[in-house]
Amino acid sequence: MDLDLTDDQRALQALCRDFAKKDILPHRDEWNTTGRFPVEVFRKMADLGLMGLLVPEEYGGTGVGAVAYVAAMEEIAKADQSVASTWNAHLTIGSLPLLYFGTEEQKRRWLVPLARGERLGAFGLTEPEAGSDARAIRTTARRDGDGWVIDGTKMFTTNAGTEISQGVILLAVSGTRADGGKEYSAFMVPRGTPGFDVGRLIPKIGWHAVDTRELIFRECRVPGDHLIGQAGVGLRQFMQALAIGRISVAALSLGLAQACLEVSIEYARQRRQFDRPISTFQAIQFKLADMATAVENARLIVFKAAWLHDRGRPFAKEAAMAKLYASDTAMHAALEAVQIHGGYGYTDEFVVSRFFRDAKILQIGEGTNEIQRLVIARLLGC
Amino acid sequence: MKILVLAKQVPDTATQVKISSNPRAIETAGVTWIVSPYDEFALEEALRIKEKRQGTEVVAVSLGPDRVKETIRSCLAMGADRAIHLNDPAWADADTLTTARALAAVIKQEAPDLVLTGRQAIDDDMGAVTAQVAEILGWPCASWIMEEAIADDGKTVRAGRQVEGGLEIFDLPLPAVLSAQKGLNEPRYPTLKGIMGAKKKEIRDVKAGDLGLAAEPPQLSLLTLEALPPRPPGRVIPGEVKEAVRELVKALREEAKVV
Repeated sequence: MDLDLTDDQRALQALCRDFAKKDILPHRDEWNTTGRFPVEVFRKMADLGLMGLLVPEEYGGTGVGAVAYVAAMEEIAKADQSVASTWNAHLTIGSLPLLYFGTEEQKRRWLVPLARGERLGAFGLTEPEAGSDARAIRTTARRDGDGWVIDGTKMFTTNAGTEISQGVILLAVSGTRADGGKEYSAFMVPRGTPGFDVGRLIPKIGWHAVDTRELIFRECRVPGDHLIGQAGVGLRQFMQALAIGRISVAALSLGLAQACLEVSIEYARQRRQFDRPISTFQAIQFKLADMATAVENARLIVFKAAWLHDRGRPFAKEAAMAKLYASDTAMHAALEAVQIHGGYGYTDEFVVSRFFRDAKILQIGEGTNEIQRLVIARLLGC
Repeated sequence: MKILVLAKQVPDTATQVKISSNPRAIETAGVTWIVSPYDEFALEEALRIKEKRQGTEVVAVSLGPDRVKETIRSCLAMGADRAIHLNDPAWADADTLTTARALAAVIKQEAPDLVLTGRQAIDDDMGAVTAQVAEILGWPCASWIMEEAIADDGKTVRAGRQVEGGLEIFDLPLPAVLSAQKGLNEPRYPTLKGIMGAKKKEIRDVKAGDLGLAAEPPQLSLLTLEALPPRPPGRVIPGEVKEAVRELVKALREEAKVV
C-alpha cells in the first residue's frame, strides 16, 4: 500500500497550487462579485496543458490519470469553486463522451480542440422536468434524411454560453424500442447551429462566475455524423461519463472542505474573545477536529475511487460514495466555518460566506446525494 | 552559449519554521520545499536568453541531499536542458565558502559563458555565495541585477543593478556571474508537458571526490538557532486624553527613547 503521489503527480499538484495562488486568489472576489466568466484563466490553463488532463496525448490531452487529476482539482477547488466547477465540467462530462464513444473523425474534429483548451466542453442531460429521472427527458431527435432534427430544452447546462464554448453534447429521445420503451442517443450540437438558442444566464445562490444556462432547440438540424456513438444506447453512454464525473465532483467538494478548514483554523487562532484566541476553547477545537477528520476521510475515499479508476478496476460504487461523502463533508465544513467566523462569516467581507453559498450545489449536481445512495445500494446487490 | 543557473532548495515561504530537537537545525518534517524565489528569477532569465539566442544551453546546478532532486526537477520542468546535483555527505555541514568552492569547481568543469543565481537564498538569507563563487573563479560579478542584455557577439553583458533610487548600469566581459533581484522578470510556470518531459532530461550526480575536493570542516560553524523572544505585550495608558498623551510622550522620550 502506498499513499504517496508520484513525482509527476506532485509536480502537477504544485503547479496547480502555484497557479491558484498567483492567477486565481487575487481575482476571485471580482469574478464572484460581478459574475464575469474569467475566460483568461482558462486560456492560461490551456497554455499550461491543463485542459485535457483525462484525454490521451494523441488527442491533444495529457492523459495524467484520475489520481493526478484529483490532486490537481483539490488545489484549484480550494481557491475558487466557480473556476474549479467550470474546469470540472469541461474535463469530464464535457469532453469524455467524445473520447469514449466518438469516431476517430469526431475525436479529431471536436475532442482535440477541447483537450488543447481552445474550446470549452458542455454536457446537456438535465431538463426542466427531468433531473434525477433522466429517462424522463423530453428532448427529441427525429431522423430526417441523412441527419437529425432536435427539439426540446436543456436546463442548468454549464459552459455552453461562453465566448470559447464549443457547443453541447446532449442526450435526446431518438426513437421507440420494439417493447415500447424509449431509445436515447447522444449528439454534438455545435454553437451557432440554426435552431440552437443559448438562453440567459441563470442567477444562482453560489457558483457566481459559472456559465449556467437554459438551452433551447427548435427544429435544430444536425448532420448524421453528429450522432455520438451508437443510436439507441445514449443513456448508458451518459451514465458511464457520469461515473468519472462523480470522482471529479467529489474532488471539487474535497477542495472546498479543505479550504473551509484552513480559513477556520487561521481565523480561530487570530480571533480573540474573553482575552484569548477562540482556538483555545474546546467548543471551537472540537469543531475543527471534527472538520479535519471528515476532510481526511473524504480525501481517502476520493483518492481510492480515482486509484481504482486508474487501475482499470470497477469504481462506480466508490465514485458514488466519494461524491456523497465529500459533498456532505463540504456542506458541513462550510456550515461550521461560518459558525466559527460568527457574524463576520455572514458578511461578504469574509470568504467563508462564499464557501457556504458554493457548497450546497455539491450535494445536488452530478447526481443528487439521494441518487448516489441509490447507486451504492444497487451496487450492494439491493 | 552555455548558462549555468545556481539554484538552492529552501522551505516554502508559507512554512512556519520551528527549531528541531537538534538546536542547529530546523524541523524539516512536513516542510514543503521549493526553489528559492530569487534563483527562480535567475532561471527564468536564463530561459529568456535561450529563447533569444539559438543554441543556448541552460544547466541547473544545486547542492544538497537527495530531497534536492525535486527542486532540480522543477528547474528541468521550467525548461532547463539538464542538471547537475552536488550530493555528498561531505557537504552536509557546508558553509557558504565550502558551497562556493564546490560550485566553482563544477563551473570550471562546465566552462559556461554566464552564471546566473539569486541575490540570496530565502532560508538563511546569507547572500554570500554569489560573490564567493566569482572571487574563486576570478570572474567579474554584478549582484541584485534588474535587467541584463548580452551583446550580439556574446562577449559582454550589460547589467543594470538596483541601487538606492535608481539603476547602476555596467558592462561586464563574459564569462561573468550575475545575481538576480526581484523585478528582473516574472518566472513562468512549468507546463504539464515540461513536467512530464523533465524525467527524460539528464541529472548528473557529482560527489566531492569527482571535483577533486577533499572534505573540509566548515570555517563558519553554526553553534545554535534561537527563537526570537516573544514580543512583550503593549501597554495601555488609561485616563483623560490630555494626561494620557502627556504620559505617552514622556514614555516615548524616557523609556523608548524614540523622540
